[in-house]
Amino acid sequence: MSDGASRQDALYAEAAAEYGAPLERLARAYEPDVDRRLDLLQEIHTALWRSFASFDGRCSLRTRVYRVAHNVATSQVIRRRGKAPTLVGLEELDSMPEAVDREQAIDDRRALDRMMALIHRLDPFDRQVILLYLEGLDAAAIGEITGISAGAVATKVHRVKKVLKGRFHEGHHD
Amino acid sequence: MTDHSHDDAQALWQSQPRGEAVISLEEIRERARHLERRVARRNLREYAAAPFVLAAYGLTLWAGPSGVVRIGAGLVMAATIFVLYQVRLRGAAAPLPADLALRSALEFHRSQLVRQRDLLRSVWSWALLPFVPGMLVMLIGASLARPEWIRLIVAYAISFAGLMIGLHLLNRRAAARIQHLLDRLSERL
Repeated sequence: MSDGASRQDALYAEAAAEYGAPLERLARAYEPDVDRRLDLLQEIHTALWRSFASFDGRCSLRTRVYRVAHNVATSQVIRRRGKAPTLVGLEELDSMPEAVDREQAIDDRRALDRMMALIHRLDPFDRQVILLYLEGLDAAAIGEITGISAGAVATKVHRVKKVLKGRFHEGHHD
Repeated sequence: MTDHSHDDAQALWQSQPRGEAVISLEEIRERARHLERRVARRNLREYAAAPFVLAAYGLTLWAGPSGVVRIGAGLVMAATIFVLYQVRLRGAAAPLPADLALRSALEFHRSQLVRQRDLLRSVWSWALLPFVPGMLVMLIGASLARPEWIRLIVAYAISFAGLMIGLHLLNRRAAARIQHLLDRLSERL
């Protein structure tokens, strides 16, 4: 095996070990269907492995992983846009009535299901912001991955918090 | 509702158990090879009709009823080769876009949409228009050489024009849909 190929494998192994769990969560957030989700996850891992053939370190490993993963997943959402329910932005979602009774959110599992249902309704770019926020990334990192300006990220994160507060936490009792 | 509600949401999100999916490096390599084979087959399909078109018009070039018809057939063959060249020039499908990992999500998707829109908008000029001169010359030649076939020739001309216009309108509509997505993207950022 050449040095380039072994470096590619090593970088992929490092990324898969460090970001395997976030990538699974990301796949769940993009694809509700179990079989398609596994397919998407494999597609992301394959794209990631291929992308490391030309990794020059200009951005961090984390930025690289999230960029590839979100670009692959968003491409899938856009390809299937015609077959999926209408996707909306955070602004529209915030003003829409809830489809699920707040009383149903009585435990973490249900709260998580509701959060996932909310995320599945978001259009690709708001979905990216909310997922990166939930993974704990700061506004600067979210901006670097998504290409959205810092100001726009701050506004979106503010809306994300408002949506989560309004739709999730008021019905979620610890 | 506590002041740390967003932290709770993050903690809950990150507490999800991992699934059973373990993807080995060998599986990934096999998937990458499969993807390359699939793309190669897709690219081959782009050219699959060309030998038939070239053979049919080659026959007309060889044994057409008049010199004008033969010139028209030659022009259609030249147009076919030109379009094949353009398909190759404008980018055959690749297993993965080269900028997948280099560009931010926003830049990547904007560039993908712009590329698709421009390709659809320009199809008439590089994939449809080149066939028009050859077909016109062939139809004029055929009507001069075989005046008794005029109805058939007119019907063929109308079908050809209808096909060209229909394809052009379909591509324009698809390009307009992509432009709408681009406008929506710009408005929201």
